[in-house]
Amino acid sequence: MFHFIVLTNTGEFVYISRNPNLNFYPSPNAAIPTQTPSIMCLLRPNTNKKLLPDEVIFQLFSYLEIPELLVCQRVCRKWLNFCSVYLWHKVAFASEDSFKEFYRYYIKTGRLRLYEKWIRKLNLSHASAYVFNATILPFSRLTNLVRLNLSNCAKVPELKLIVMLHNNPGLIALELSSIPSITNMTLFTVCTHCPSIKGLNVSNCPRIDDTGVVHLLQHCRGLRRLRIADCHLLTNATLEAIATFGDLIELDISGCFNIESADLLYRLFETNKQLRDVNFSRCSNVMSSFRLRHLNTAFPSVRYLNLSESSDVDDEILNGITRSFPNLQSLYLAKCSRVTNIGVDYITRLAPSLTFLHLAHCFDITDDGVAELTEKCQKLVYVDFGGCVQITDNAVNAISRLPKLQRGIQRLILTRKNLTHLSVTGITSVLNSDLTHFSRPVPRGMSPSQAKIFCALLKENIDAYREYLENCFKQQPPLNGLNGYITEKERLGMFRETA
Amino acid sequence: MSKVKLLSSDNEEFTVDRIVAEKSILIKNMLEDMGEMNVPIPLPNVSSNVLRKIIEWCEHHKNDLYTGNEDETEIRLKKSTDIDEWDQKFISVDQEMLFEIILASNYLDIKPLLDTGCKTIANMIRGKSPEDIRKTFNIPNDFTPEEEEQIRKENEWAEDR
Repeated sequence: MFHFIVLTNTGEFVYISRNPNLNFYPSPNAAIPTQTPSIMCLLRPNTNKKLLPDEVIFQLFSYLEIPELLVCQRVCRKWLNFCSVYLWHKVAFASEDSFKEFYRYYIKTGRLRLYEKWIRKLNLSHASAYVFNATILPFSRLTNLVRLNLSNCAKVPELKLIVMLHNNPGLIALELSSIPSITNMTLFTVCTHCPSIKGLNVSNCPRIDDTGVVHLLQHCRGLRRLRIADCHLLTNATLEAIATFGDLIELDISGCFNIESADLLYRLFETNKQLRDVNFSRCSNVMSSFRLRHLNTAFPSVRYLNLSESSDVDDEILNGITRSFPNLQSLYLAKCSRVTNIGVDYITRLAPSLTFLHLAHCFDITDDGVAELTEKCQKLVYVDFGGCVQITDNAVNAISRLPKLQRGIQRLILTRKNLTHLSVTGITSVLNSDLTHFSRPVPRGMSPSQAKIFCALLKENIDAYREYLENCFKQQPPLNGLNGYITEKERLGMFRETA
Repeated sequence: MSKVKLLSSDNEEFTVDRIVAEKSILIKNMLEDMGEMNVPIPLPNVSSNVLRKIIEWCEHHKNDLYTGNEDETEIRLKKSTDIDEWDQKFISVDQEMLFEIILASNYLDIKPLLDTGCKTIANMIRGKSPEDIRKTFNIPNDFTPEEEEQIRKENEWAEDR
């Protein structure tokens, strides 16, 4: 905010504020006009009453909900515009059908043109089957997008996509996973036309190769989050470019099995000091540096590490990992079948921070390992020992004593009144008959075994469960001290904007 | 405690504690810039009856911590229209006064009071039809009947979202 003071020749001072909120207000020493063209007529237009400034009216609408905004936009043209800013800010479709409806009302009739300038976020990924050349055409006129999600829209031709990138220089986040038509051309266009890009997901776009990714990393210096999982053409050249880049916060190269240089991977941590979320699952041999080196360097910023299905990960590597990443909150080691109780012992070093641990199909882990883990890692809110065939009831008992597991969910429900969705499907450690009782119905198409572990609560279910819990706790108050933590779903939320 | 003098548009002088006056970010910045002042601060956009009301609010809330540091550039719906009990009573005034309070809190930059005012108007809008809203706020309808019908039809889609 700028403000300055003017002394008039009569010795009076006049204070002028340049607070954007006050721009509509006439300066104090000017004759105060009772109406100016920029001020909206909220009171009787013909009386000389003061009027509410536009930005106050605009703010007013932020207190209304969508159904009310829909009413308000029918009041007059000005209100239509104001409401449109809120209503059209984000266009996302929950299903193919809702996109079809939208298509009928807005696109066929050409009405979208009226609103397109307000659209800043577009998500067609859940309606992907209905997204093709003709249906995406109207969206190629959009110019104010900051977020675009076309993941899974397999029928989108690359040319259309390139036109959209050309038209939206303000793009910050771009999700284009599983679009087979995408080639390096798309990445080149991002380099030349999207200077603000921070997050890019081109996972499972099999035609992308090193040239494109290297070019991207050389030119998009603002990039912070990069997901290039299952791009099988990528090799060590990509890894080298990442190791040179230096500013990534998130990296996902899972399933890129041609990336195999453990040395480069280690260097990548040394250069990208800010790295927080790292997914190297289904990669081969990339972690071996953590075995060989005398590890003196720690990478304290790494919070999430996924090494699932990495056949080389063994106890010795875990020894290195748990020293190198002392602040890990989530560690995924599913199907790392060489991990034993010794590895679990190393994991307990992470006790001060570790909340999510996945050890499914680590067959050699026994009750002793589980007992030690649950005793030391008291912050765990998620553990998975699925397929660990050696563990018995003793381990289950040990897990059930983890302080955050059971109460965690209850605490979440009780304290997060705005929670609208909670899925604990498959998290057998938190599933209990109380909770599943409130689950929404099992979706069609799930196998009986999947249905058995299905548990997801929508807003109304959560509210009902909260009411139930509140009634329970009237007799016995819950223990305090478990401050709010995030659900894994939130943690993994796609492309949170970097602060 | 140091006092501050405020001068309304109709030249009535009000003397208040500095902590009360500083609920207005405009006045707070002014005092920080100018230091102690003996001359009354002129508020040429606020009449005495409105200023009296604003001071009443500032007195009541003088010890509140201001927490509204959310990012204002982000466009989002705030949802909550809860108004605390005292404020609700305070803001139960005729529509003209309500607008005056909103205008003054906007000018004086008293964000929490502006919020209360906006929430009150939002509550007035809730549940009304477009025609009711136009009547309440005396807004001329500048849509053609066809346009209005078109927007209404489009809403049917949006309501399902």
